[in-house]
Amino acid sequence: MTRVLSSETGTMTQLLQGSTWEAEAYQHALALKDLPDTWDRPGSRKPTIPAINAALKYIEGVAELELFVLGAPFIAPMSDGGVQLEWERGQRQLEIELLPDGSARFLASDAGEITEGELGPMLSPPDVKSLFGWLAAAP
Amino acid sequence: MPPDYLDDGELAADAVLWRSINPRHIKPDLTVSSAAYSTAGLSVYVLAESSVKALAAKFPGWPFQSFTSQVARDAGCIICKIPDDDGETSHREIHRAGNPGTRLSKTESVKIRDAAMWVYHDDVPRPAPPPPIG
Repeated sequence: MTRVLSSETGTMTQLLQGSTWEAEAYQHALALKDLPDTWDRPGSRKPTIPAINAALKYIEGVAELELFVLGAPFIAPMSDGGVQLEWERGQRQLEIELLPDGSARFLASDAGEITEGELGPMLSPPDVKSLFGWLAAAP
Repeated sequence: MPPDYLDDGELAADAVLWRSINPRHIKPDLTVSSAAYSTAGLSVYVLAESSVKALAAKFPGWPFQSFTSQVARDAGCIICKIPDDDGETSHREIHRAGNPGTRLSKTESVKIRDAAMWVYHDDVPRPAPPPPIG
């Protein structure tokens, strides 16, 4: 089941989570909705509800992979209203960026070699498995 | 009228640029999220055209990272001389060379982030782990 932040009420359905880091990641992502619009620099936006909801879906999707070598992501607000999730393992880094409209893209970096791409508006299990399998396999 | 995005050709390759870092972009291990560099018109200041105290006063409580103009150009960007909202002329905006005005690509942001180093100076806050949630 997915946690969803309501755009109308600002409330969230409480659901159970299994991973040790999952609850903390949900809490971090949800806290972004309370940032002021002035959280960064002039002209910045606080994370949008579609971006936060997409971040929650990705957190859930990654937790369901049960890749125990991966820990909690670092969760960063973006100045344009997006949200970024970042994982690291060894020399490998994986960033999932949720754009203000809820669509996603990724950047994978291995010792300075960088690949980036789109993930589309919907969470795609094969994409997630492939990306996170690569990260978990870091030497 | 949209601004002209022209590279500041007078800015030397070894010119030192300072970028203020929002504490929310600092990871627990004191490395920096690429989110800190992922914006349209990345705001930086040329240290040689300003002063440490003046820059620190602009961003109270925020630490800085530094990198050279060559780093930004090697990442595929141009450095445009555009005063900040206060009219500060040491200010520059870093834009995508091929598509100025749009947000830096993730790759460009990561390349700049990876080359940037923390500024340790008595007049500048030191980087600290992120604030608690909420």
